[in-house]
Amino acid sequence: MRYILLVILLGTFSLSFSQQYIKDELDTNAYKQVFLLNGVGEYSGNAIQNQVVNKLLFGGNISNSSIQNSLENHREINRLGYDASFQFQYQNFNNLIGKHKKYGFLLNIENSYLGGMLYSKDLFQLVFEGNTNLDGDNADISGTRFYSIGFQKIGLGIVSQKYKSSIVLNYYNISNYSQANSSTFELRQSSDFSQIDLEAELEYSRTTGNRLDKGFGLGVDVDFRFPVQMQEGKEMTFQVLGKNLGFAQLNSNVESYSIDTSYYYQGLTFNQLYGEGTIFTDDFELLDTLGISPENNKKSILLPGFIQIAKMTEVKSENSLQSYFGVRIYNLREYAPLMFVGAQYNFNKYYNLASHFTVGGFGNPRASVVLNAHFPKINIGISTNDVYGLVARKGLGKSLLIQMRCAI
Amino acid sequence: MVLTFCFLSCKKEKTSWESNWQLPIVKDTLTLDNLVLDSILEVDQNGNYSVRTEQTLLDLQLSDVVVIPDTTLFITYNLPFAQANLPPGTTIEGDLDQHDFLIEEADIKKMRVSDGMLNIKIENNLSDKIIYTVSMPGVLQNGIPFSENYEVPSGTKANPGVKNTVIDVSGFDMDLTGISGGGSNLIQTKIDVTTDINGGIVTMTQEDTVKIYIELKDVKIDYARGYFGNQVFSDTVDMNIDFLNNISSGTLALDKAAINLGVENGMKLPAKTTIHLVESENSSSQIFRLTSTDQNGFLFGTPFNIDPATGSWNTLVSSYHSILFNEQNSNLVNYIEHLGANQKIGYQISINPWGNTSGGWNEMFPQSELKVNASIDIPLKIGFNQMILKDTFDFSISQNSENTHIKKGQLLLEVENAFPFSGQIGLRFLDVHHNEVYASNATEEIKSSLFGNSITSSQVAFAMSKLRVELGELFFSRINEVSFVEVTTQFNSPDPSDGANKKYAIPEGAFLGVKLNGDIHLVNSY
Repeated sequence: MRYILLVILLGTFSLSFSQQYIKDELDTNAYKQVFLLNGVGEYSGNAIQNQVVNKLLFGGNISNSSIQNSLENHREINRLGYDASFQFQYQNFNNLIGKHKKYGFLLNIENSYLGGMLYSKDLFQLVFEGNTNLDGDNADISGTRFYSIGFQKIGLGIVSQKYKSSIVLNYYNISNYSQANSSTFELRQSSDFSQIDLEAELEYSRTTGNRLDKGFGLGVDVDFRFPVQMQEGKEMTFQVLGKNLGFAQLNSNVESYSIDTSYYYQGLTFNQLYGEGTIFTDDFELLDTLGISPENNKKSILLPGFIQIAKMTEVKSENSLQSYFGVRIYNLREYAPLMFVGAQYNFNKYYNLASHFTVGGFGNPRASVVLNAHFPKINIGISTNDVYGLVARKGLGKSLLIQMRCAI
Repeated sequence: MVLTFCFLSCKKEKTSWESNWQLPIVKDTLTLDNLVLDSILEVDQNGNYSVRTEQTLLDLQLSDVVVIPDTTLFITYNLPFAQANLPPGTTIEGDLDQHDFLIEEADIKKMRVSDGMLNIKIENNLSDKIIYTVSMPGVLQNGIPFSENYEVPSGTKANPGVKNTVIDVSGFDMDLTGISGGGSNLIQTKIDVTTDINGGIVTMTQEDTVKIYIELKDVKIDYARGYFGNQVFSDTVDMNIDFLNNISSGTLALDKAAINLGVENGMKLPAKTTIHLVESENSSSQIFRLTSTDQNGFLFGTPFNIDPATGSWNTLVSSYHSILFNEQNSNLVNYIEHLGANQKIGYQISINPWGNTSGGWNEMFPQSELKVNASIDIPLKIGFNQMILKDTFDFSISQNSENTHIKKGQLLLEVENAFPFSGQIGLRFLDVHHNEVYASNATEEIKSSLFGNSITSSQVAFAMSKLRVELGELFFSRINEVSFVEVTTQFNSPDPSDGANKKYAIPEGAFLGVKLNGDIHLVNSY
């Protein structure tokens, strides 16, 4: 219950709906001003159960049985990711611009933390069980990828009064960044653990220091909504949404490690154990001994952007049951292309309930629920992208998204 | 930031989980070469190891017997009459003179310089430049007497002209018998003064003094003849075999041993040697003295004579005197079994003990030495009876129990032992004051090779043993206090048939193969 409260708190404090909110609803009403607050707290994976992730996030002892339960869920390649962000957006239509006076101004402020990893079952087993229970005495960690970024952005743009299509130019501040990629990482050990072979081709880099401005970048958000005429005179509105399409330059020193070598270790000799610079003396440095030393340099990176193409639901629709579907593709290999399909049912003009099924992203296929309340000037929405995970200890993720919109 | 704050504020306790790791720590193979200098190991006809080595206890050379001090000869010359006007090219011959080298203890008649310098400084207070001829008739370079001309610039009494010359006298022969030819330690000089042939008339008075400084500096010789005096060299030499200090208790038994003390005299002079004592002190501060039964013609404290060498230069033949100590004529085996780390040898060597009986004809050549050598031969047929070897090593590993740390563990030792000895290992972890923090003994012993049934491709038999040393939670909870680890091994040489400790030879190729793994229970915490 504690983590549910926390996610709710996160959403409430951040007072926002996130960019990662999958389902968007078309409101073609003309307003003078629109205030949007979005927030999201979410993690998901395909194997690690909540009873493990909860302890990783909030503390406590992770029992061997819960580790074992998660281990059994693992496939050869697995995913785990998180997304926490909040957004404030202000749209002003008092002074319309453009040839046909259709566009208002838009101010966008956002804070995001996003990360994910691709990893093998062996890596999970090594980290959580050690090397004594490895299957086949080998651990293949090849293909492990890790990505984590925290950024803040502020942007100005224009937004159409009717469809709310928009384009925003954003300035980004990078507060932290780390990334790892191992194309080859194989640990082989003899059955009596007297010999360990390590073949590694690994790159790892991270920003260092306590400063919050570790880089800057430029990018655009585009949200293009357009109606498509269907058969029998029906019309459907589609959305092409692109977020964080740009790049950043990390302006502080980035600590980078690059390893491309094979280690063969059977133990030390007595001469290495006895004397200066041995593992029992204070001046022993493992990385130095292995010949691994960091390089400090600057680095340019792509922002974690995505493109989503979706069919939207509409506020003004006369149908009480509407469908929606779409696909979202990130430029991160840790994030699988995500597809969703769902339906929304309007109870009355104030309340509607939507549910969709997603495949892809960081986690397994999962069911989502969205509850919206439409009042004359204020909309409030609350949703989860993982209904089962929100309440189950054996779930594989948690997700809570909150939206408030004030349109006048 | 708000999100981060919320996450952190919700984390009321640390995340933790436990994992098990096993890693190799040591893999090495020890042979006798690791324990003893391989140059002193030999394999006998039976394929067993022996320690055979030769140590030089004393090595007297010419430079130890005859020391040539730095010597400065100050030679002055004055006109024997009141005044003389010397035309250009006039030579006034000086007198042949002799000067005493202050060579202590010895009367040297002849010597050859192997290294050294001759510094000559001449001062001239005459009004014209003068040519000084410095001759040393007894000093020969390639058989030619030393004689050199030095042109010294003009000067005054207050500010004389000065000429400095440095001559390398390496290889010079020196006859130190003086003008009479029957003296010793005497060097001859003769100074001639010549006016410049291109100069004017030089007026010289009795007041004018020619000053010549001849300095022999850092002279070393490689040949000397004369009487080298009755000199006595005595000392008590301390030798420490630190390794033996690690033996804290128990006994070692040897089958036999032999030490041959050889005195070699390459000097043509008589000598007399006395060995007062050979004794050792072990780690229990017990002193043991080597004794002899006189079967070898030797008694401690009784001098024995060393004949002079014979021959000359390339035909020099040293005289030898040897004394053999073995298990029959001495208590040598017991002496070695005493395992004394601190060895003392007291000796006295007297040269020319009966005075100048050679008529001043002691002689030493470049290769002449007076040496005392000890040849040691110990067949490594050894028996151990609960002999405990103890050694202490630095140890520094720290961990924070609030973070990721080792909760408990064990050392897993796999040993292949080709020595006919068994070993029981114990570990004591000590704080900076050497107080015990934690102790643990191996669960099994390292088996003697005689108890094994394995054999290498080179036909060396060995036994395999698997040991475990538990390192409990108490150890890892106090690991930050540990500054030293004391490794104790109790050695025995049991007979497989009755278990009694007996003496066994160490076979050629004997080894101790060690594979040490660490098995740890890790608490991951953040």
